[in-house]
Amino acid sequence: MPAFKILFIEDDPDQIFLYTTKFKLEGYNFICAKNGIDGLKLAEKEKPNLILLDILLGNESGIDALKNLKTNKKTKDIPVIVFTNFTKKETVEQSLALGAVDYIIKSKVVPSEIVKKVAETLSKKRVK
Amino acid sequence: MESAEKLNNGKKEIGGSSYLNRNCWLVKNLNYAPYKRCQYCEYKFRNCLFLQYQVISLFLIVFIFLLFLLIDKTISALVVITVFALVIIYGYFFNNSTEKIIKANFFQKKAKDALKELTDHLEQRVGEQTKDIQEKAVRLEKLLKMRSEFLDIASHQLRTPTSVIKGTLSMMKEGDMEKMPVEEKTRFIEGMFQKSVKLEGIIDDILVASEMDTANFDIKAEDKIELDKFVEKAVSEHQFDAQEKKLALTFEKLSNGPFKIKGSAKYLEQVIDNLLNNALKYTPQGSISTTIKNDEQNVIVAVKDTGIGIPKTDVGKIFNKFIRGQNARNVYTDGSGLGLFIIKRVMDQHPGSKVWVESEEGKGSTFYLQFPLLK
Repeated sequence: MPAFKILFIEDDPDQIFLYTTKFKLEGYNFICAKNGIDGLKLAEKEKPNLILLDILLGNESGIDALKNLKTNKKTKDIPVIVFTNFTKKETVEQSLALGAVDYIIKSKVVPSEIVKKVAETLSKKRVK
Repeated sequence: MESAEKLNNGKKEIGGSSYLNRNCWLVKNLNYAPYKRCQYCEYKFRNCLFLQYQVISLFLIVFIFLLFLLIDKTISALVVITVFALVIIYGYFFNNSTEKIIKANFFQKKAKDALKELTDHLEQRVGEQTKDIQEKAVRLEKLLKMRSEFLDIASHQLRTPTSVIKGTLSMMKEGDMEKMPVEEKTRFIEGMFQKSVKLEGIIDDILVASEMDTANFDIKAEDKIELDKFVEKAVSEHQFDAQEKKLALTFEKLSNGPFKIKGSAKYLEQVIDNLLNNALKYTPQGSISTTIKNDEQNVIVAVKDTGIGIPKTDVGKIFNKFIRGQNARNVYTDGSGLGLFIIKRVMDQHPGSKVWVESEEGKGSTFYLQFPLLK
């Protein structure tokens, strides 16, 4: 069975390196984009099984990226987990209202925990 | 026809004596007939009238007395005189009592007017103070909102490096490192080191900003600094970051010098660092040029970028704590809002120095630092 494809939209190179290494070690096909615009293009082209999305993306907002992903016909059904260190309550509520399946704070989890969370989300989606 | 007439607070004066006041408050408030006078002219008129009354009465008395005297009816004359005298006395007391009523009404009205004036004045003062309190409440709300925004962003900035450090260490703990080639292990260790340095920098910013808030903040600007070499070194340290973002970062001397100033090397290093970091952060494409020049009095450093610029409405407050330009906030660019505040506070501590910005939204900004030349 081909490996699940995960798209990581994140602008911090150290975090990209960390999670890319971990997910690849766990057998995932892990692709990255540094901003929302590139993330949307990559999502349309590669059709990942799940998207991990940061909120503070350099010069843009992850919330705008989430809105675009959820309104685009080609990407709206891809589950999105917001994966960030931004803890503002309104942002959490807004993300979940826009259709994110979860909002996870990076500093609260280690890489193996996020891998486990991704696996659970994918298996729930497969059951549906 | 009225001649020699002049208006004096609604009174018409004819021949110098006022006798009719149509604006009289007695007419308006107590429904006196228009021919009746206000207290002022009533009093004067009544005095005049009473005097006339007395004079006429006296003549009548004398005339009648002489008349009766001539026709020998003394007793009758005496009775008539007595009646006249009683009328005069009655008239006097009548005049006196109505005068007292008018005076009482007048002073009552005066008291009412004074009370109304006081009430109006108090209402005005209360209105002004209410407005002042409302404005302060609005400013306080804005400040609390800015503080909340700052805490949201500062907590994100602090969490980001810790999550990388924690993530890397957990992978080490779980044995993932053993599966990696050496280059990847080295990269991880380097990443942890860089993140811990960044974390230290953020904590320093927050602590410096808090320290600068205290009344006795004094940085002791006593070092002798060759500012051209100082700035050139800072620019070279940021070249790597500029290359990563594909930005041209240059340094140029626009005059021959000297560029010696007196200042705090430690804090000025932070100032130049903050300016260059900001230029890199808010310039998506183009260039950042750093220049230095001197004249007989001053040395001026300029950092010019082709970035997002600052809206006109934000330029005046960009050096305040927790403030980031509206366009920077709109795009959620990470930034604590402390960098420019720290720069301003440091420059304020250097006598004769100043910092200012010229900017156009969408085209870029130029930040200037001016120091007195050390001779």
